[in-house]
Amino acid sequence: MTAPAARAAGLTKTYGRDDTLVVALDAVDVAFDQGCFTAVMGPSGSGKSTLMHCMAALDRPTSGQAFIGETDVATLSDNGLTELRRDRIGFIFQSFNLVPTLTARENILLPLAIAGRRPDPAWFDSVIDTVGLADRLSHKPSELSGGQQQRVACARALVAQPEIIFADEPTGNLDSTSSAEVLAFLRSCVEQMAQTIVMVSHDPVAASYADRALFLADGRIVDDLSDPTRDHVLDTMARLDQRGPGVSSHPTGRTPLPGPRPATGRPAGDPGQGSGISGVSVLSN
Amino acid sequence: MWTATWKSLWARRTRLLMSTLAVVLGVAFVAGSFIFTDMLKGSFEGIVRGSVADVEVQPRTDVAVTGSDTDDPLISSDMVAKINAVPGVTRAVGVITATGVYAVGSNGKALASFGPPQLGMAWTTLPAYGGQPGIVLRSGHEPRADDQIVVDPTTLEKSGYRLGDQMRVVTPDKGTIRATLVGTATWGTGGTAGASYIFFTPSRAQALLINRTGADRNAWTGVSVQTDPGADRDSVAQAINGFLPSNFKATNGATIADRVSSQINDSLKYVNTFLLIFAGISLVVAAFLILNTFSILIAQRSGELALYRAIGASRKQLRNSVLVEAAVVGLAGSALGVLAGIGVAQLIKTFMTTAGFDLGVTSIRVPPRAVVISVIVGLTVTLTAALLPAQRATRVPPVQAMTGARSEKLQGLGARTALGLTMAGVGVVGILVGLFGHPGHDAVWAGIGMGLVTIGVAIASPMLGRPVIWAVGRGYRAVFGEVGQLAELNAIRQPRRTAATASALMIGLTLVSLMTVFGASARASISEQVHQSLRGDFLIGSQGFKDFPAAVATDAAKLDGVSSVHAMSTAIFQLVGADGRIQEAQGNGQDRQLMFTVGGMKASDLDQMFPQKITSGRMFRSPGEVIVSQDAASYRSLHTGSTFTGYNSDKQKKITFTVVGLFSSGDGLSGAGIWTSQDTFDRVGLGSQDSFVSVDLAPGADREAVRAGLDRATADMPLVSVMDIDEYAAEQMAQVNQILVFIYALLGLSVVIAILGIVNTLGLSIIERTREIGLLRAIALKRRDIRRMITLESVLIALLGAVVGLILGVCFGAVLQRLLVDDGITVLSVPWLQLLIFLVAAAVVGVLAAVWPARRATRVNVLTAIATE
Repeated sequence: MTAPAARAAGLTKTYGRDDTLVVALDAVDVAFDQGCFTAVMGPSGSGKSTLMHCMAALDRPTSGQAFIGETDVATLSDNGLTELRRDRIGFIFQSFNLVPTLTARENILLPLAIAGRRPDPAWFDSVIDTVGLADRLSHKPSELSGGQQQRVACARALVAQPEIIFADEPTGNLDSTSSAEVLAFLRSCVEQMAQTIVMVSHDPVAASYADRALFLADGRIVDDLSDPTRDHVLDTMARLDQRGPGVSSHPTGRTPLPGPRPATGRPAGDPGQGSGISGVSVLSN
Repeated sequence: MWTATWKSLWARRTRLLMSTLAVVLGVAFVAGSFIFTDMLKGSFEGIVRGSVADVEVQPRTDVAVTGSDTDDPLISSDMVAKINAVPGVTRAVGVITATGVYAVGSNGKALASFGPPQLGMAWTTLPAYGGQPGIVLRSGHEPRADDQIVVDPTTLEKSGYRLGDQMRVVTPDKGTIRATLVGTATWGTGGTAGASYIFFTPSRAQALLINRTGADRNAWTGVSVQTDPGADRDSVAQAINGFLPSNFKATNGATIADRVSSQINDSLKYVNTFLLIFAGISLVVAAFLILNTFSILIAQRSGELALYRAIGASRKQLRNSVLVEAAVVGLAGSALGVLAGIGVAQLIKTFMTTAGFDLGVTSIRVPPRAVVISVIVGLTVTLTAALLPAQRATRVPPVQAMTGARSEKLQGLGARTALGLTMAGVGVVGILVGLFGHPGHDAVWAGIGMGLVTIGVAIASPMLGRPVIWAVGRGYRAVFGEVGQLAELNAIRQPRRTAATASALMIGLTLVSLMTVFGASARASISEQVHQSLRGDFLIGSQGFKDFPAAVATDAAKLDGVSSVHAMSTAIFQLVGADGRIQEAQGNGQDRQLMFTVGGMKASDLDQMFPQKITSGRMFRSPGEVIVSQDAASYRSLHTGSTFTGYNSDKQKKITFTVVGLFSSGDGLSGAGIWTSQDTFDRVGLGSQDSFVSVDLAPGADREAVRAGLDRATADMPLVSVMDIDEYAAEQMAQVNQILVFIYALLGLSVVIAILGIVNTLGLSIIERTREIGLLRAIALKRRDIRRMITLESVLIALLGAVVGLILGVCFGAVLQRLLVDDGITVLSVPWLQLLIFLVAAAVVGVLAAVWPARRATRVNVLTAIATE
């Protein structure tokens, strides 16, 4: 068995202090295997986004360690982190995050351009073929549909051949058809290119494309399913929802989810840390 | 990465337009200053090159002649013949140059101003140095008969005459003559630099311009010599010096040209520095605008910047990318600025022409120095201003790319306010030290203090401006209700942004109101002094304190109703050292110690023209005796009984003065610091003309009749005017106004840039608030309300800048007045009405600045606005 592509050991992240202390991650230990498509599930405020931010060297943990390969992220300087993200990590965002002024081709090549590397033409072509964007390369993001934009974003994540790709709600802004396209594409990357992907999602359908589904609640991993199906995921999520306090806030705060929604019925009026987490994390930087 | 930077820059080009424009304006001012100075220099150098021959024989300015000869130093025609015989001399001709010779236009007005000289000269065909063209005929022909004259093209143009017309010409000693205009000419290829030339035939010039009492009029004021090709000019000059009279000297033309050029360069440096100070102010204001623009753009792009960080751009790359954008803006702005600088130079030239300083026909060149300096300055200012925003860009956390949260965080103002207040505090101490500590260089202390206070207040203004915003906000709520409140809230939402925008205007208004208070104080002081000091019912003086014939005073005394006439003549001397050596004047600041003016009057005129009270010693009686004002005595360390020697270079005479008494003029004017008897002047041929005459009326005299008589007596002298004390004061004050208008014009550019800043900030803020505006439109507000809301916000920003600026300006004006009490600015006058007008003007500026942003905001499509983001 090869070493995991990324792993966390006692990873803890807290925000605020004393009365306002929020524990977003509570001593999480997890490993993401190479060539594996992992879905990180959990209700809003469960810590799944924080886990990804810390794993992906976007945010620093309060304690514990996060490794990309054998590199301890916590030991790196800002420049080290930057190079790590640049050379070894790929990102796919919920809101696509394409640069509006650049064409699809330029957006895809942006990480390489930033790194000052020349693209490998063969690899570039195969990526473009896989995402099926060959005839759209000279278009600006505003001229592309949501699904196409997200596929450009996927191509951007792939083109630098990163060790691991982190995808944050990649289908969150897409309709069900586009979602299916993107998810199928991610799946094929894993199968054909042995790409390691960690995806955060609310969507049980999305999770069903993954090899493994991790469930977080209250900053802890509470379940770990292999080869999850949609129904499996739904069941688990429903169970988590009934667990009660600490987990809160409406999961659909961002966009309507395609497909079946996780059952609602959580206590209303809980401290709204779900939306708070992201806000706090910005302020703390 | 560069592609991305370039594309993002291009995408935001309209948003960067105002910043670029600010750089353009600031740099245009810098370039314009250099181009204008260069234009002046070119103009002067053309004259110097064209008017200096291979070897010039001129009166020495370091040798005194003895004897009772009262003529100007002259050289005889015999001597010219002797020079012609010197080996190496191709040709030598006698020349005549006299000042105070000017034409009278077809409208009867003198074509003369108080700046550059009006020259009368003998026509010569001798080439200038190195065979260059000397006098160049521009039209018509040279003067062939004694009643023909040639003038410079500008004089012809201004006179309203055409070639062939008869023109009146005023001469210093021979009154007004008539002559036929037959041509136009200039020296060399240069312009006239504001001087005017009238060329006569040599014999007519001798007759008109040489004030020679002796029988032999065949003499010259100098000799110009053309040397053979290959002849060594220095040796020719030396050979000529071998037989010249001791009060003349032959000099290599190159030496003279170099000396004149370096003097011109020295004085042009002052002009340039003066202009550059205002250019600097504009650039500081532009820097505020640039800083604000980049800050806003970076705040707006934080999501994009976070993405770059997330996908692996280092902080350095982001900072450099922002700096590259700034560099592009700076370079583009500078390049356009240099071009616009040509226009600015033209503008300054036009302005100077209207103010009476005519540069004549001068071509515009852009000196390489202007380009290099302008681009460096433009680039440096832009990059410096962008440094802070660039640093801020690197602090965008990469995680923001995921969360997508906008960082509209509350801005801490504590440290900033503390820093600003500390700076202002240090500044106030500087001002106080300058005012009351008298450490020497008081003005420098106070000036640096004022600068620090301004910057400190600008830094602390997000906090300091609150009372202003609060007060205006109250008014808005009362008058405009909800819309007014929204406007106020929008203005305080980003206190730094609002304050930075207002600060740009604040700087402009601080300077404008400072100058206004200072100008008003200067006018009030002048008026008070004139009224306190000048005696006499009518005053006769000329523009620029130039001399006029003594006949005026004699004629005035003969008028019915005149009881007495008092005349003052003046002469300028340079101090001769104890060893008797005459130090040559350098034409620079050191001359203030060296040069002194002596007033001449009859002993009986004491205390008749100016308040003069002998405080110790006695009044002068015999020639050579002087009385000295207490101020001049302390400046020159003189006391009763001291003697000092002065040298007058016009007459090449030395006079030894003995101080016999000190006098005081109280707080008023003393006319001159040193006075001697008219006799003293007469003995050496000085003081043959008057510079100031006061006329007392007899009791019961007809004022108007006397005035008419005086006007008649001066009718031939267009530069001389008869005034009563009120008119005299008004004329003196008008000069202050003229300078003030010039300074307002120079400060105007910084105010324009500040206005651009308001337009810019509002425009960018509206882009940022598109969604919110759409929302407001959707739920309540009409287009008109939106427009009003934005206009009110703009007016609030303008008023904030104006109020703080006016307060600072009035305080600084008072400081400046205190500093200059000893220099005659004794009265503090604050023109409240004018300041109120500035305030209203600022509000109007606010309304105008909002036009474009408001239009943009009202065009927001409600649905798309809400849908975006």
